[in-house]
Amino acid sequence: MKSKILLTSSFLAVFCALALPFSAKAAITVGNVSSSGDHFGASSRTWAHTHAAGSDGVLIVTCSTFGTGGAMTATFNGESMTEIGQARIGSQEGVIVFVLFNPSVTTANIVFTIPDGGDGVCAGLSAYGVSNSVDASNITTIGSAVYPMTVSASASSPSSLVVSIFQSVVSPNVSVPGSQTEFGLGCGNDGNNYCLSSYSLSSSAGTQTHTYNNGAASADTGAIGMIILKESGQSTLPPPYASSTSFFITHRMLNIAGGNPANSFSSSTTFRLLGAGGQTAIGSSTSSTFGIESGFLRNLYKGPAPIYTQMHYHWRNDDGSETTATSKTSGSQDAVLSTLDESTGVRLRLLISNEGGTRLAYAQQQLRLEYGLKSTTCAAISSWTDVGGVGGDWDMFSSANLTEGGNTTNIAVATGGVANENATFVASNGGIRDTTSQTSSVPVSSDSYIELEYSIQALTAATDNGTYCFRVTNAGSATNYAYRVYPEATISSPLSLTFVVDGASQAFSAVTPGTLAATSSILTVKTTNPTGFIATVERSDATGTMSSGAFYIPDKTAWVPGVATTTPGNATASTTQPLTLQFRVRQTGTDVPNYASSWWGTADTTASALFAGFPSTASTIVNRSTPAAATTTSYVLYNLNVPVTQQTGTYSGDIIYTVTANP
Amino acid sequence: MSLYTFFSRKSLARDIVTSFVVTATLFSSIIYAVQVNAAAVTLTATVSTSLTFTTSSSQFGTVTPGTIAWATTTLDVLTNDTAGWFVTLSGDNKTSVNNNLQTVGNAASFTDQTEWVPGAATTTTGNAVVRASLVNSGNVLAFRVMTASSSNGTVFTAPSWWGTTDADGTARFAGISSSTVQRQIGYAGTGSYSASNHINTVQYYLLASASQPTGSYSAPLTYTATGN
Repeated sequence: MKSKILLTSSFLAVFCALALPFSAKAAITVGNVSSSGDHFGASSRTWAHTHAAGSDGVLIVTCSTFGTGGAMTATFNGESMTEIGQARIGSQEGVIVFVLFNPSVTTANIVFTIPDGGDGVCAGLSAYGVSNSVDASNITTIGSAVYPMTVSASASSPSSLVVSIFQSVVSPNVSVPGSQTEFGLGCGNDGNNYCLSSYSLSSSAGTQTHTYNNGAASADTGAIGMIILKESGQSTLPPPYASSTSFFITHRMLNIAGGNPANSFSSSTTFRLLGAGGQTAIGSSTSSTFGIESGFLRNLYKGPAPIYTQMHYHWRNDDGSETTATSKTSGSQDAVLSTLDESTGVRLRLLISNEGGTRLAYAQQQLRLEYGLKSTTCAAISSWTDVGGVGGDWDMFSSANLTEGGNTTNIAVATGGVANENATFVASNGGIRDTTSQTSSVPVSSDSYIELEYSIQALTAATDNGTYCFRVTNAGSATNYAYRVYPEATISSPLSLTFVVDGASQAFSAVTPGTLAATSSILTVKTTNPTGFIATVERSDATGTMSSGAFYIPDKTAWVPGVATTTPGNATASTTQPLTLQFRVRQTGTDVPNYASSWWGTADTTASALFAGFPSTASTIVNRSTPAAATTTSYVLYNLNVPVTQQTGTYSGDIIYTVTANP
Repeated sequence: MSLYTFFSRKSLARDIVTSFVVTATLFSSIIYAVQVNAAAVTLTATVSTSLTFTTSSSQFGTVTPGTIAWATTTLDVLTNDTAGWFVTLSGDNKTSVNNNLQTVGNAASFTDQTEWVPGAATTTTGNAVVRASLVNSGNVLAFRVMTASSSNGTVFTAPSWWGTTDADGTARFAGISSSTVQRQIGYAGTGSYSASNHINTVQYYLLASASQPTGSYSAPLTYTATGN
């Protein structure tokens, strides 16, 4: 008895020990199922399904179909489901399976679309505790066979959810064994089961088989499919994991050519000089930031070949010497130049640091500045051009502030310099360039960096609004060069202003005293100016607008605009001073941004339209604050009526329109 | 015997319709990198002639044979025509056989002075004569343009036509012409423009003989003012 009790106790202990790995994982559970019900001849099926909360959830939708199917899809709550596979006997019976991992926790519609409108029925099943990938699937047709019909797939995990669907051609009353749980609804227009979906939970890896029976046991054909989802957290290969001591890892250390010699000196007490394998660090550093490695440690980190790395840049104004010129980007290095006018000198300071070694392919460099027009990224530019080359979009800009071939100095970032990126500044560099784009040969050894300053300009051939990238090469070769940054400059779009008047002369029809005559001008403006434009008008004759010899047609009181377009001017209705020459900007025919209703009236009606006389000095009649990338029109109406005493004759006079881009 | 004269008047304003072809020349320019652009537009208009013409008349009233009766018509012209204007006169009743001033049904009439034929120019004498030279012993209906009351002066009254003054012996008279041959009685040319009304007076002379039948006489007349 006691023994037996002890045995029992021992057994439980073992059981618990074995169970521990499984308790850490979420066992597979099946949640809600749903059915679309029978559908015939519809191109879609929609039914509600509730996917309750649970970790590692999945929604599986199985559909039987009849017809060619077309490009069938399924969604849940608007989320697209993934088709795992489908099989069909010609244009007749078929099955299709969809899954959606981690669907929304909600009650929502499952929508299955079958473009050809074939018959069929679908079912949904929610499950939890499964991995978010299909472990195995087998969806196929069945040739002529005798029941039971089976489908199999191989599970890689000992804990799996097995789901299958079957549709027959002729046999009703399809059923499944008790090891499988039916879900969904049998289909067939006679109400019997021609198709059925079922699932089971498996606790062993390997082949999983689902069976579909029929009492008639006659030969039949159809389609059948199975998918297997393993339990979440289960590895493909079940434990125990390999922990053998029979195997080991080897790591072969390769010999590295080059490397610095095994001597060392340093004048710094700040930096650690690392040596290994009898090789000690060499050189001296005045930097508080950068260390020096040597021996194979150095080669492990940096390699023996030089890596001339373009690391910083700074756009500067050409307003001073190499040391006094100011930043063009408010003291910020590595800041792109968003607007640059053509034919305007600008200075570009660049830092090239040798982030590699000097033992392989090391030579003095002729540092040439090149440019390329950016399309996507600077790195993607395939064609680079020497800034100093003949023609092209860029050229050197001879600066009165620089001396060609002079040495740059290590100036501060705030004044247009760049941050130091290595231990040693190459002081004798000849890096100042304003007439040629390429330095003389200059060494940039390991742990060193050089600063270059080029005075350049964009030529008129440069692409308006185009962004150019710059890089430094060794006389055109980018071998052993790396580019962490590319200076960029965008060419300003030249301000354009187009002004067209529809006619240089406008004639009133015969003017009978006391009878109104009218004509007009249409002002058409196009400008890229972001703040729009103003249009002014003035008469050229100080005495009056229109004259015939010594005779003048009376002008209405000269136009005085309001201080703003929202402030009325002095224009009045046409019935005021009616026997005069007067004008207004007519609302009809004038684009809205050009029209100021406070100036010219809220409507074109006699009561609302406001008129004024032509002023003897230019006065604004249109003030638009927005750009007019496309042509914009303003319609100026001229009204003329004269008293009966107005001398007969032909009168004429010039009015001058001036369009100016707003500041 | 009561004699009455009735006058009608007609004013004619001539409209000069002048059309212009709108210049379709496209004026345009494009300026890059410059922010100002200007364009001139020439406005043209032709002001047509405006002319208003009114008359007001006094009547002869009762005419006593042997006693000259006088009547007047004031011509009032307002025009903007810088080329000037002119006035014609014709008698609606006047024909080669009928006189101007006649009773109803033309049972009786006054003899007309010889119909007015102006000189080729206002400086050329017409066929007007002084009162003493009137036909039919002066028993006629005649007219002339007075000089003294003219706001235009000799520009319109033409001394060569109507005499240098209104004084008897100097003033010249003529007969009212037929309606088929409207005769110019005054002409104001270029330089006569005034923003004010032009006032001129036509004077009518009527002398009835003792044998002139009593009755009410009338003579409808037509004045026409025309801008040049």
